[in-house]
Amino acid sequence: MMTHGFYDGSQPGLAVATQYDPSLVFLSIAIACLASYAALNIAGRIGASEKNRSQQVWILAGAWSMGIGIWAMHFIGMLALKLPLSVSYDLLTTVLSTIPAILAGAIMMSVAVKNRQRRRSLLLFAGAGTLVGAGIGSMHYAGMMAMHGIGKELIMRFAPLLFGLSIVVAVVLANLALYIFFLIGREKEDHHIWWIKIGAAVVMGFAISGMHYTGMASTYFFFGEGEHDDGRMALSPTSLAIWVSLTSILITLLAIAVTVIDRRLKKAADAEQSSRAQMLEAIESISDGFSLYDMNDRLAVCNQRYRELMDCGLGIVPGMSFEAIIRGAAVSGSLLDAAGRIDEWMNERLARHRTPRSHFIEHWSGDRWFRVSERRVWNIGTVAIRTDITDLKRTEMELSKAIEEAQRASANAEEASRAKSAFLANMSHELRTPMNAIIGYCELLIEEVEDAGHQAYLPDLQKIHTAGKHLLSLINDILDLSKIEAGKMDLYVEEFDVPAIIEEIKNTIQPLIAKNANRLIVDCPTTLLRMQSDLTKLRQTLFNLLSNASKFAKEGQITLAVTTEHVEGGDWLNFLVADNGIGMSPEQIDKVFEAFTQADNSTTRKYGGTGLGLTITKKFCQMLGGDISVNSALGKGSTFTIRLPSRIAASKPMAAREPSSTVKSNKDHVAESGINTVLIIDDDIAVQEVLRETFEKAGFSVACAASGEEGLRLAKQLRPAAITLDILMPHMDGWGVLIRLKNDPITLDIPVVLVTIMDDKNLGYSLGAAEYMTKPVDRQRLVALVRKHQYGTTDCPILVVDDDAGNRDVMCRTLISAGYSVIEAEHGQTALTFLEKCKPRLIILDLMMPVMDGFQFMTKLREQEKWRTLPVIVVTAKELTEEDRMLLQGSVELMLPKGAFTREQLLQDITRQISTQIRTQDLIT
Amino acid sequence: MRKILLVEDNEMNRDMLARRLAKKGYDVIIAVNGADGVELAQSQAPDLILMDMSLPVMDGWEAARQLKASADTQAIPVIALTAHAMAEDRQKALDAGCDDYDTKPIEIARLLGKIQAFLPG
Repeated sequence: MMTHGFYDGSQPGLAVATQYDPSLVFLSIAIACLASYAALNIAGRIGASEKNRSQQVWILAGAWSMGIGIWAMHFIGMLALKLPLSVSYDLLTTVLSTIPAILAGAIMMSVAVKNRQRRRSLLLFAGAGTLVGAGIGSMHYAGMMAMHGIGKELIMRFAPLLFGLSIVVAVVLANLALYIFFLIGREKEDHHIWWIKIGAAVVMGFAISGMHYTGMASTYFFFGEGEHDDGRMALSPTSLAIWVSLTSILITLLAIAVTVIDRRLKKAADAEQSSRAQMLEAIESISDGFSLYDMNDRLAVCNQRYRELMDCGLGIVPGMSFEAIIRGAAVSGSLLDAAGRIDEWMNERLARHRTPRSHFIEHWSGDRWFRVSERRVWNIGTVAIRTDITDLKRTEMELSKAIEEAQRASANAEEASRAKSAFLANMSHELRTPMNAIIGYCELLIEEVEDAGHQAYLPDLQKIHTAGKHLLSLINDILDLSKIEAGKMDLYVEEFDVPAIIEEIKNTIQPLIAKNANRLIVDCPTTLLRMQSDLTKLRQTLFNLLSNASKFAKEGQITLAVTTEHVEGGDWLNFLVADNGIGMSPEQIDKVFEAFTQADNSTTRKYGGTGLGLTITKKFCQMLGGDISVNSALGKGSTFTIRLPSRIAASKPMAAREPSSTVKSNKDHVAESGINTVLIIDDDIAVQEVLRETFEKAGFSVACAASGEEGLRLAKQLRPAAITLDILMPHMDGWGVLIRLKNDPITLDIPVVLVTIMDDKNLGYSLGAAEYMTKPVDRQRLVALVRKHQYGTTDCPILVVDDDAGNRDVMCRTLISAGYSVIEAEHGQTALTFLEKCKPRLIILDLMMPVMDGFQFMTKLREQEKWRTLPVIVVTAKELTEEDRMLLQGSVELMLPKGAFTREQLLQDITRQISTQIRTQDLIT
Repeated sequence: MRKILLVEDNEMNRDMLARRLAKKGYDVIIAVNGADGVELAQSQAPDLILMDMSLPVMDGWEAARQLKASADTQAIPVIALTAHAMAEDRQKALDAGCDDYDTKPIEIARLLGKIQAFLPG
């Protein structure tokens, strides 16, 4: 008789009464729910992992946990069943019964994956739910086959209706569970998903257990006659219980593990999501256009700014190719760079994109400018930032336009100036031809009138002649100046003998000198003194100065002196033209070399002249590689000094004042005590007093000796900065003193200026005198000479820092006339640059200057160890506040308000500062 | 009497200088351009030539070159008169073979000195 079959009323005897252990029933349902939860959770994960292989692993894990869950539920349900008979379970059938269950799980998982991929349909649903239900049913009935009675045959008969119902319950509930599960896809909020998962798991659990218990309800058990023993391996209920328990624990653990992992993964995913969102938001918020193209040059990320810029109607979405986007912008005409040459531009652009170098500029319609920096990041793609530099570009363009205009204006002005000069040169030439005739005929007439004896006409003719000459000299000056300004004045360099030229000039100028009853004293070395320069210009220069001197002095003395000076790099000649005429005020001195200005407007009326003479003279001196300086005082006369190189550098006239900075003194070592002292050796007390006053005014301290012997003693004792020495003295004359001074190592280095009425320069120089001056002494020149030899002042210049060119010039001239060499700087920055090159002796500093003012300069200066001890005198027009004073206190040596000190005071202060400085240095070293 | 050839195109200057030189006892003959000057120098054999440089037909430099190239005239001293007091013009005159130069406007004493240097006695 068949042990299994449908109940048809032909069963042997009464059906066995069955009972259930309620706790095991509950456990079975719980296990079904847990397994469903684990499986569904795994199904939920599948979508998140992208790769196919791991998807399959997840499907297998889910299918297995679902199948084993169904299987465990079944056998716990079976253990809950109490029959009045011992039973055993056929091992093979028991194991094989897992197959339909696992298949059901696999189907469920596959559908879940499809669901994730949003490829679901109602049909798929129904089919899947039905298959899952069928799987559960198959497992159940296969499991039932495994049960056998021990000792008696156990016959099972299934009531067809309930059997059918059990299958329906499985199919319907499985469908419902899947449907609920699929709701997850629609839900946005987390805790909803949580509940839906639990709901779906419970329904699925009930689908399994509901099927089982309905199936059990349809089953009638009967005892048969025979004994089932086909020798196959069988499991006792106890060992089954152990297996099922183990499986259940496994499922529970799996469910817990899946939950925990799920949470972790979810958290990580959330964190990633939020950081990604943050990053996108940050990218979105930057004002520059941002784009990231992946390794295949497809747009990965970009921000709104980029979209706005690049969107030419097509829309910019991730995945678009770089080429398409760029071409869109180019074709639409937004990118002005590409206008009219799109293909060419595209090629360049793509090449640049492939190998980005430094940033570049894009010009967009609407006159917008962008700076694009592209970077290729390995394994990520190309990042590009577009910065709007329109404002910058506009400013830049305006600036360059302004500069261009300024340059054009300046070029125009220069051109106009050149044209004007050329015109003047031509005009002057045209004017000279008729002037030539006028003067010539006039001279002719004068001669003829004289010959004919018509003396009455002579004065008028003389007047015409004088006026004509004057007009001609005006024209000549204008011609010269305009030629200089037009850059057309050439140098005609030749070699000549200076004393011969001086003699020639002396003879030529004599009538002019005599006109105002002046006396000319010429002081020029009689030795052969060659010079290589432009003779005509030198002659004109000296003529100018001498004719000026003879104009402005009456019954006075005019001196023309020539001295030589040997410095490193070549010899220099000083031509000094001095008069004791009307002199000039400091204001007049300031303007004396400027074109079209005479010392005084009334000067022209009174003394004539064009006012161009000194301007031309100065320009000539500069062309000849030297310069001119002036010393003058109202009522005392004027002294002009021209300093020229004995050999002019070929075709390169040196800039004004440059030579003085290269002057090198032959003295390096100076005794500490006498550093600022001048020793005057003269037996004439009156001379001593005059010289004492002169030197003290210039800031020196003075010692006097009335005899040669005393002079020698004081020289050894004081070791002064310089000695002035008279020649004609009783007992020991100046020559004797000079010889002894130069033979004593202590006094050997002290420069000696011979001040005498005797004119024997050659002897003086050959005995070692530094300078030779004849009485009466030009005191300022004497001071300048002494200063020149004083501890090499000229070696280390004085740095004058002032932005006002006029102030600077006055200061420099004052210093140069006192024998100092000078370097100029128009503000603190240039001064610092200079300091890097050469250390000055002293700094004269203005405070209010552009670029770097005096305060900033002082800070920088004192920061440097090597410059910390440099003496600084502040000369400023600024009203110094208490705060300013505090700032400068201790940092600068002296503060002088501009214009509130005399030239002598300033020089005294400077001398004092320099000697203090030297004393300090000597103490240190 | 020493014969001086004055080559000058400006009528006033020519007249003025010719008269002044005549007063100083020179026999002055006149040419108004460079070509005339060269021709007169050959036909009249003057003792000295005063030559303006800016001349029509043939300029003074060219005339000087021709004078110095011809065996008949090369011994005659030529003093260039240049209105351009520029070094290059002076140099150009000397390069063209002139023996000396003087700048215009003429200073009669200076010019006479130069003439006398060539024509002593």
